[in-house]
Amino acid sequence: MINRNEQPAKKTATNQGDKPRRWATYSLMAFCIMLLAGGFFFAAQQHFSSMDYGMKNSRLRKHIDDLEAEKRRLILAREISLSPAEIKKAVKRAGLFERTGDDQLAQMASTTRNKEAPMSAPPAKPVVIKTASVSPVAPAVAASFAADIKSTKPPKKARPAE
Amino acid sequence: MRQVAFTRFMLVVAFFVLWIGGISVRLVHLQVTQHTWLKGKAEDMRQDVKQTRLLRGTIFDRNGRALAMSLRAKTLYADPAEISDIDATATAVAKAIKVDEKQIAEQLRNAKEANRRYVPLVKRLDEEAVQKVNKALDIAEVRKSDLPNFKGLHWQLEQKRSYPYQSLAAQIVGFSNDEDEGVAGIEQSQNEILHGAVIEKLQERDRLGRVYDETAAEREAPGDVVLTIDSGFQYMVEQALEKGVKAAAAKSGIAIVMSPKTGEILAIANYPTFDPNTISIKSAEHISNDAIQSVYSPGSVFKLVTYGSALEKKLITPNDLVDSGNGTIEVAKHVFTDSHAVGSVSYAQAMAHSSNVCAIKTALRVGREDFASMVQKMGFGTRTGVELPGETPGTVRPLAKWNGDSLASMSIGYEIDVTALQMTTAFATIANNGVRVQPHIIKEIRRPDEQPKITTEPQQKQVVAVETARDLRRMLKQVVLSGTGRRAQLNGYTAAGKTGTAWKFNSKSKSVDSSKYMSSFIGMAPADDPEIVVAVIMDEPKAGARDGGVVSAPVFREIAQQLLHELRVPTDAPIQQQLVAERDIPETPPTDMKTDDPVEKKAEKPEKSNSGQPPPERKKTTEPRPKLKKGTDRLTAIYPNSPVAWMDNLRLET
Repeated sequence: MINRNEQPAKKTATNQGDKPRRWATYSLMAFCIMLLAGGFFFAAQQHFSSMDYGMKNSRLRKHIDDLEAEKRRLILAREISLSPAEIKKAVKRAGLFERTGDDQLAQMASTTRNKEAPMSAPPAKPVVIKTASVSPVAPAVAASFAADIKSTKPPKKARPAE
Repeated sequence: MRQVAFTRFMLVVAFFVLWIGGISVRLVHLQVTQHTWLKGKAEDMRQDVKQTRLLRGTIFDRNGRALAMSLRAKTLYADPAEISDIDATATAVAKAIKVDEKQIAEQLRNAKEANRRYVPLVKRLDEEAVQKVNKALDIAEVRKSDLPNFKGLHWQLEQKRSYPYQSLAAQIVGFSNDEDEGVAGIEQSQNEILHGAVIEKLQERDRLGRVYDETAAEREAPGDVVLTIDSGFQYMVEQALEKGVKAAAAKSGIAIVMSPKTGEILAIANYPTFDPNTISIKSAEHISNDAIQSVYSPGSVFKLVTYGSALEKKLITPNDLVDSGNGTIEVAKHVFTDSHAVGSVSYAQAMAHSSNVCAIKTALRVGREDFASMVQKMGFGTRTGVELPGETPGTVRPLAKWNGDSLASMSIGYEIDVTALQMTTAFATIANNGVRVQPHIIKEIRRPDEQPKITTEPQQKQVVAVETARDLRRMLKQVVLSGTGRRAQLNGYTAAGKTGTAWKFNSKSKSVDSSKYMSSFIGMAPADDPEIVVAVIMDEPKAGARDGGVVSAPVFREIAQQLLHELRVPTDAPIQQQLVAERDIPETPPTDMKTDDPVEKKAEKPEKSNSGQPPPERKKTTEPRPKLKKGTDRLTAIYPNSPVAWMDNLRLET
């Protein structure tokens, strides 16, 4: 039952002070919630960034592996092209003929004069000599090699020994 | 009313409590009780452990040429558990890699029934072939993280060993098997250095299979091996040996080139040889490196030790005279004979003409103990220590087991088994003024990201006196100038060496077989300050003469002439623009062919020693030298059926 004689509550000083405090509380709560939410968003952004960098890293690592493999393949192709069997094939294709032992002996005996470096090996050369590619490479790989590959000038003719 | 409201309120509360309580219980159950299982499952879905073998190390020659190297390769395999339509898969795979479709389908079905998850379809493809297969097996509807874009098919990373120079130095380099284990040669002996360790990579993947994190266990990368072999020299030596073996119709041949001052082996050639890229059952019989794994009776080349021991004891000098009598000597009821009587000659001449009687008399003067000591000092009966597998020490009987005629037999190279490398090292010792340098074939071992590691310095030991070595070289020079080794004379260089022609031992009859020979020539050049020692040994030459001086000396000549030029060694003898073949021994038919020992020879007066000068030209015979026919290939003309006729056709044009 409703008490009709009840007077509505008068606006006391306490009631008037409660309102700003309430707004402050609400705004503090809102700030904390926003901070929390912002923190969540920041953490999520970091998480996905790290995943993204990790994937890029993995792709780059794979790219490095592919380049290393291509480099080895080129080295092998170069060595094969320098092997006696391949040179013989190239000589045959070019229509040249093999010099006999007699001609070689005559030329060797008559041209040896000065003693140069003794039996010790020449300074170790780098395994990969920066020169033109031996055989065509895939376009994607070629682009990455472009910075490294320099064209070599043809070597100077050695002065014939007397 | 209040009571009713309160009751309803409590019912709602109870409902929510039960609801939240149920959720909490479930959470506790999942996160506490099943924590380990769920974590493992999540990791399984997210993480992937990949095992990769590091690429096997590379073998280089001394100039940085790769003689053996590995490349990344891929093996295509199928996971039958992921394949729903086996026939369609088999059809696609058969078309891509050009194999039998039914065979593939059967393999996949059998594997599926047996619950096997790995069925290799094609092994070790290079990158080019992999790209082609990927293109052929690309299905647009399939979404996979790895290639090929075909359900149930995957690539496995492997490696493929390649030998770019094919059969060059094959017995030295050796080869490795599918499990990346060296089986022969340097591949075997240096397997620990070359072997690529298996590393585990822990990869974290997202739901699409993309890798976003990777951790690899640290492992030491394999090293590379640099040999002392020069591939250019090796090729020259192999070519010359092959030519010599074919000309002599020999069963096989060995050639070794060594630097006496450093002990470095510049070339070891065996013929026949094999290609490690394509090993078959037939080629497998040529895998062994006969230079260190086979033994033979050296014959007259062993007189180096006989005269060396006498010189070391100062019992003789090269100019002292020794009488061979009638060319026979009996020791412990065993008669030894010379191929031709040389009479009373200097020791130098006795060696030049390979007199057995003179050598035996010398050995008897030296005595058993001192001779045995010299044999042991020169390294016979023990391994040289070269870094190749399977080296045999040879057979040297202990002194206590020698018979009455053992000293005599050993002094002329019988009753002892040696390897070609042991003999070469003995000659290298004399070439190096009596200092024995341990032969070695590895120049250095390279580790990644470190300075090149140089191998340990080879052992050096003064075995004989400098004067002994010098006198021996003088005697060996006479062999080439005026003795049995004239075909080893070089143009522009002096040479010294010794021929050897020994009967082979027949293990079935337990006696020497006079129809089978080991013909050898071991020499050094230039004679006074040798830069190289070259050994050539032919097993069972059949065509024409079989002496070491006829069969092996020309091969030495070809090798030494080329190598000295390549090494830019200054000439120490006059260069003849037109080299005329020296007739050192009159040509006789095969039945009456002259040999070093012990086959009968026609008597020939020994020439006087020339002290370093080329022998005087002989008088021209009345018969004209056969001329080359028009259109005859010079290469064929040089080596027709008989190696002896080679000398007739030898002409050098300016």
